[in-house]
This record gives sequence, C-alpha cells and structure tokens, in this order.
Amino acid sequence: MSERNAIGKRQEELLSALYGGGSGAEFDKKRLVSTRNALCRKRLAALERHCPCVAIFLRSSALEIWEKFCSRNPPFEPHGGLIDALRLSKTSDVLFDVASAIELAAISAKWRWDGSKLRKRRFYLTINRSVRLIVFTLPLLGTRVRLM
Amino acid sequence: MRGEAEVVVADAEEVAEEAETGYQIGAGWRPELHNAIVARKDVAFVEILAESHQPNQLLQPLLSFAKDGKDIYIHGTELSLGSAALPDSNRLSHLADLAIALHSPLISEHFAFVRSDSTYGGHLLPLPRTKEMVKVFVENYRVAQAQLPVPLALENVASFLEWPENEMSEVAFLNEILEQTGAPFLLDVANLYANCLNNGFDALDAISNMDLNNVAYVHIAGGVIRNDGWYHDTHQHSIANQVWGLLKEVLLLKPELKVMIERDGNYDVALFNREMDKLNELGGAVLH
Repeated sequence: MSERNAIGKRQEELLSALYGGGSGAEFDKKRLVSTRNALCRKRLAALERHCPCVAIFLRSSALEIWEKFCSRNPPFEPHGGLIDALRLSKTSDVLFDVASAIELAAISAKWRWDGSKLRKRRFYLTINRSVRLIVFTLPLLGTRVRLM
Repeated sequence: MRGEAEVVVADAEEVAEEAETGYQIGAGWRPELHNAIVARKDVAFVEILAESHQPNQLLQPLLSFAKDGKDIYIHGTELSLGSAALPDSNRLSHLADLAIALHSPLISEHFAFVRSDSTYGGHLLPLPRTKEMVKVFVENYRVAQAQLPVPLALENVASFLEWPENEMSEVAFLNEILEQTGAPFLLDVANLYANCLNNGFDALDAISNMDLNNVAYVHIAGGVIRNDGWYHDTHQHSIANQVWGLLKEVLLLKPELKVMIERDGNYDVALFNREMDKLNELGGAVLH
C-alpha cells in the first residue's frame, strides 16, 4: 500500500503543478509548461468535437477554465470531451456567448451518463411533428381563406 | 460497368491476398471520416474511442462494420491504469459492454495515468519509470483484465515530461510490464518517434530492443514541431517522413502486422486517402 500512496502523492504533485499553479519541484519547468499547453490544446480539441463554439470561445482562456472548473476528479463519466462540456454547462460563473450557451444547454439537456434511453426525445419529436404540421397546413388554410 | 466490376474483383483479391499474408491496414473511426473509410475496400479493421460511445446507444455505422465482419477495436483513454488507485469498475464495465456489443476481439489502454485521487488530468500523462510503478501497474492491469471479456492491449504514450525519479529507460519499462502482464502490445510508432526526438534517444535502437513478440497492432499519426521546440503528436498534421521510416523498420522486423492511422481533427479526406494509400504501398514493398 505504501507504494501506491507514494505514487499517488507524486502524481498529485505533478497534477497540481500542471493545473493548480503548484511549484512542480524537481520537474523541468520548460517541459512542464509545454505539457500544460499540450494538455489544454488536447482538451480543447476533444471539446471541439462536441461543442465547436464553446471551444472557440474558450481558446484564449482555456487553462484558467480548466483550473477553475474542470480539474477536480469527476465521478464516473465515460465520455472524453463531453466531460468538460457537461461540467461547463453546469457552471454559472462563466459568461458564455449565445452560440456557446446554446451548445452547452443542448449537451446538458440530451445527455445521460448512465446510457439510459432519452425519454425526452419523444417529447421533442412530438413537438417537431406538430410544428411541421402547422407549418405545412397554414399556407393551405390561407389559400382557402383567400379563395373564399 | 464491366470495367467497374473488374476493378471491384481486383480490390477483393488484393484484400484477400493481404489477409493471407497478415498485413492489414485500418483506421481510427471518427464520424467525419466514416464515408472515406467505407469507400475504401482495403480497410480491414477500425478502432473506436471508447469514451465517445455508449454500449446501448451504438451508432448505426458501427453496427454495419460489425455486420460486414470487420474487426472493431475498442480504444480507451480514461481507465488510468497507471493511477495509484485500482481501476474503476464502472469504466471497466463500460469497456466490457462495448466489446460485447460490437463483438470486438480486443480492448486497448495506455501506459499512463489521467487522474490522481482528487485531480483530473484531462489527458494521458507519463508514468514514473520505477520498480514500484511497474508493480502497481501490473496489479492494476490484472484487476482490469479479470473484468474484461477480451484481451487488454497496452499502448506506449508520447510525452515531453520526464519524472526525476526515473530508474529505467522507456523501452525497459515497457518490456518489463509487457512481460509481467503478458499483455498484447499496441505499438504507437509516432509516439515512440516523438519521445525519441524530445527525450534524446535513438529510435532504431529502441525498436531493436523492444519486445515485439506480441504486437496486437500498430498506430501511426501525424505531428508537428511547435514553437516551444518540442515535437507534438497532434493527430492533426500529416505523418512525418521519419515516422514512415520508423514504421518501415518495424515492418522489416515484423512484416505481418496490422497498422492503422489515427486522426483527431483537420479531417482532410484527400490527405487521409493519400496516407492510407501510402500505408498500403509500404506494406506491399516490405512484403514483396
């Protein structure tokens, strides 16, 4: 167990140096900085796959955002880039632009980490069908009215 | 029409010939590359990112691959086998369920950690190359493998970060774990090249000392040297000539391997097709 504790402590130190502004004693500073930047870029790229607008919005402040909101160990959430997207959708401390906010709201509304069926989808489908019906029917009704 | 039919037959014969010789090419499946992958007759297998898929909500294109008899490999990035804690059973169930749902012959993970007890790293980080780490990693691997229905392969990672407590070379560290676990090896040639360039060791020497007896398949990907002076394994740039050269050396040692291209961003279909063609040619040149 002592091996695990010692390894865990050192890994914690490294992560704290990368994300929490820790000193990162004994690690080469140039390599630490490059690793931090590479991690940020990779997380942004993963996020971009699901929320391109959010990724563009965060490009200049990504490191700060990861440090503040996304470096605490998550519970079981299997999806790479979606982990960050879901977490960002739950924070109220970042003022996103409209496009990013819509993307995050969509992620938050439709995703289920446990893989359960998306029951809400049926509701959305019904609404969609109703809207389509109205859109197609209205002009017809309008024509009839004018004819009369 | 007749000409087209002849072309299809020729392709099928080529694929059969490659299958007989054992050299196969594949691709990392991404939605953006789906059409390009389906259009190619020479793709024998695909690899999916485990964290992007749910076993009970599988995408139709993946199911069609499984129906066509193409192998689908599951590639995980979040298991964190190098963490001090034992691997998470929920994540293992997720990998196992995916493998069962897609009839996958193999799951893979990395020689890396992504989280500590309280902090999430967000991506693969290198491990301290010590005897204690080997012991912990081997224990974690055994726990993970016991809960999975198919073999769990291990992949070498790219990193510029070096732990001050490192006691052994990267090759010795990988060999030791592979020997103790008996795990299939997922050799990432691009990651090896990146580490050789960034950490100053000889790539050919590394290849000749590496345990290649149980290689499951091989990754190659593009990268670039950024302003900080390091080579970054981006998966978004074209594959460097040196990586192709290193792959050729590997194939000269082990000609009957499965090799695939990883791409994560900048999905240029023309470039993807050129690199897949080159992969085919390279295999043909080595085999004949």
